[in-house]
Parts: sequence; structure tokens; C-alpha cells
Amino acid sequence: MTERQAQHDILVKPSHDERARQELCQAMRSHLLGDVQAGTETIFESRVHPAFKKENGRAMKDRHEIRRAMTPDPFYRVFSASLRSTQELMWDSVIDTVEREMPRLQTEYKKLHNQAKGTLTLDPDLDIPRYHAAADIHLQPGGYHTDLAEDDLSAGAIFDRALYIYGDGKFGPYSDAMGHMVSGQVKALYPDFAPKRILDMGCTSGNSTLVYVDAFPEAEVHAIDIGAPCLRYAHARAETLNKTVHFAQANAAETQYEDESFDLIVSHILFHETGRSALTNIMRECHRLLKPGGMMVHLDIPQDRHCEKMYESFLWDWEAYNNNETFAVVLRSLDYEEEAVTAGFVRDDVSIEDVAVGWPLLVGKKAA
Amino acid sequence: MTDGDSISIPRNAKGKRPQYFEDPASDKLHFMIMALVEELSVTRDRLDSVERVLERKGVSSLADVDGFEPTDEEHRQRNERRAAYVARIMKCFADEAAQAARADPAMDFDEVVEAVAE
Repeated sequence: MTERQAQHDILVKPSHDERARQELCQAMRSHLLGDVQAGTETIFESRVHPAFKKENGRAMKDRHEIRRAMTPDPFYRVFSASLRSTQELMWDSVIDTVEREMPRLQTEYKKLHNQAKGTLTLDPDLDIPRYHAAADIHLQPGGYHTDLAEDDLSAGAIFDRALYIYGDGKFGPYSDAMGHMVSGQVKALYPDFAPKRILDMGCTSGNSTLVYVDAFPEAEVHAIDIGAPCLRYAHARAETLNKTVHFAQANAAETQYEDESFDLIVSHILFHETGRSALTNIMRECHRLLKPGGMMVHLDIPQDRHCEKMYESFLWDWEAYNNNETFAVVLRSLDYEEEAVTAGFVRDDVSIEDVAVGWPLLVGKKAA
Repeated sequence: MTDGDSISIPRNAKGKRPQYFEDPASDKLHFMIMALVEELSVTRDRLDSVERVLERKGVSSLADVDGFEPTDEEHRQRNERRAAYVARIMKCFADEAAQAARADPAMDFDEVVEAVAE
């Protein structure tokens, strides 16, 4: 039994029926990703793979062959269509709440902003990268970046509520489990490391960001995102939860910060929502921004090489093909260490740590 | 944005939707089923809330609802309403059967257009 979502002034409060819809989406996802997804593997082993072997005289060689064979299978089709529809229904049900709650949120936002200890710096001229503008990632209408009104914070408000539903509460009552994973691993690997300035890249509603305020109380915590409505929300959320963070609108591949201005740079499932050239540029930017001896630590979804079974790796691609997390397909086969070396890190100072059931953590230490 | 302003948020995500079934109409029918599943759950939750509110206020208990025995007249009314409900949902079968049973088979649409144009 997961904990309920932690309540605070800037979180939307669903009405009775809105909540019923949202919790149904949560239950539906849980069932589809549990029994039904497990069933797709049974179907694969019992009929799809045997048919392929019979026709081709060999076993399948990679996850892409599995996908091509599974896509037309009736069991898998209904599974995929159901998961896709649930995702669409989830956003719709949350948007109902956010639209209804927006006047209250605006009032709260202004109050929190006026008495803020942290800061919010927006850049209205920032170019929204193609990987965000081309398609709305994980089907959130308008993505992270669409400003619908002055001081709009709807994208962040939608994301924070939907993230909890999407994760079926498994990211914790504050949806910050990834921040705990990363900061916990940093402390375990480097118990004497005491960063003074920390940067969280691609913070969205700032859930994981806030973990660093408590994990490193001596540090000044900064966070960036490309989406203004997410940053306004994250800023208000941090303030109402009494955490001091400096939020800024920036592209992680090209920020406004000075050289060597951070001791620790982190990201939580940022990579797969970017693009091929952006990934290289983000790592270069990390190298530029880190002080000598500083560290970058990036968490993302399991890569192909981290999956014990080819079928499991195929399942991790579902979101790419059905939920607009397009870059994941390429990313899951890339050599992170090589990318980091290209960006300027020394090979021996780069490692992949396994933080939880195959979720890789790229750790890169800048030469002192 | 000033205090109290409402906002209209887009409901459609950018990006082409995969087609899961041979006939795109099936994708739509499937989505409709999923949405109905959702709405039925909303109704069930709402009923659950009503029952619990009544219990908390001491009006009736959950056991009263679970142990509810309709009178003969209530039972008859309920059966009638349920039968009408089923018939309404299954009307497409009734329509097709009624067409098939006609002594004078229905004309094609184009034939009707021609007939009424005369």
C-alpha cells in the first residue's frame, strides 16, 4: 500500500468525481502494468516467438524484432491501446481539476512569490528545443513549456498531480523518490563530499530538487528547466514547503551560469526527454559548469545493456513508441561513459552505478 | 493573469496517435470503452460515498444497504427498469432484426434519394 500524495497549498485539490477518475486511471495503470503486461510476455513466449522461430529458423536477436512481431498481436494491441488511452484519460482528468483550481492557485502563487526566500528567473526569449516542440512528451497537452496566460503555472500543476497518478504513488508522497535515490547514492559513494552549490537540470515541478535542500543543508540549491509554467509552479511549491531553491529558465545544454560554478550537478530522468546532440551538449555543459573535483550525477531509465532479458528491454521501449518519449529508443543503446569522455571527463573518473533494479546512474567527476 | 481568472487548457497532445487496430474506428470504440470504464468507476465511488455519508450521519448503515430486500412491488419495478436498460443498450440488434422482418425490404439510400426526387 503506497502512501497518499502529500497535500500542500499549491497542489490541486480534485473534486469527488475528478478524484474518482484520477484514481481509476491509477488503478488501471497498475493492473495493465502488472498482470496484463506480464501476460504479454506469456503470449510472446507461447505463440509469437515460436511462430517467428518456425518462419525464420532462428530466435529473435534484439528488442526491435520483438516489437515488430508483438505490435500486430491482438493481446499486445489491446494492452497497448488500453495503456495509451489510460494515459490520455489521466491528463484529461487532471486538467479538469487544474482548470477549476486555477484562480485559487494564482492567488496562492502571488502570495508565495511575494514572500519568497528562493528566487525565480525566467527567460522569455529562450528557444524551446525541437525535442520538446515536435511532440508533447508523455502526452501532456502543451508539454512543459506552453504558457497559456500571464504568470501561468498550469503545466507544473498538471505535472505534479499526474506524476503521482502515473507512478501509482511509488515515487513517494512528494514524488521525490528519484532525488532520494541520487542524493543517497552520492552520499554512499562519497561520504565526505560537501557540495556548496548544487544544480538540478530539468527539474519540472521540482519534486526531486527539494531533496537536496535537506540532504545538503549547507548548500545553495539551483534548478533549471525549459518550461516557464513548470518553473513558476516549482518555485511556489518549494516556498510553500519551506525549501529555499533558486529556479531559472534555461536549456541544460547551454545555461547562463559562469564556468566552474557548481560542485554537484544532478538530473533525474532528463536524458530520455532530450535529443542526440542535446545529450552531448548537456554533458559538455556539465563539464564547463563543474568546479574541479565537482561531480555530475544523472539518473535515467534502464538501458538495453542493463536488462537481464531481451523481453524486459523491449517493454522499456513502450513509452518511446506509445507515449512520445521518442529519444529513449536511441538513448537506451548509447554508451554513456563514451559520451562523458567526449564531453571532457577523464575515462577513469566516469562510472555507471546501479541504483535500483537496473536504473543506471552516470557519475562523472571533473578532474581536480 | 489576474486573481480569479479562469483558464482554458488544451486537451490534445501534439504528436500522431498510433493506430492499434486494423480499422481506425476500432481505436475509437476502444477508447470509448475505456472512458466508460472510467465513468462507471466514478459512479461506483460516488455511490460508496453516499452510503458512507449516510452511515456517518446515522441515517443508515452499510449493512442496511447490503441487506436491503426489495418488496415485491419494488422488485417488479427494478426488473422493469433493468430490462428497459438492457433493451436500450441492445437496440442495434432489435433494429437489424426488425429490418430483416419487413415484408417490403428497405431500399438502399440512393434508391430512396431517387424515389423522393421524382
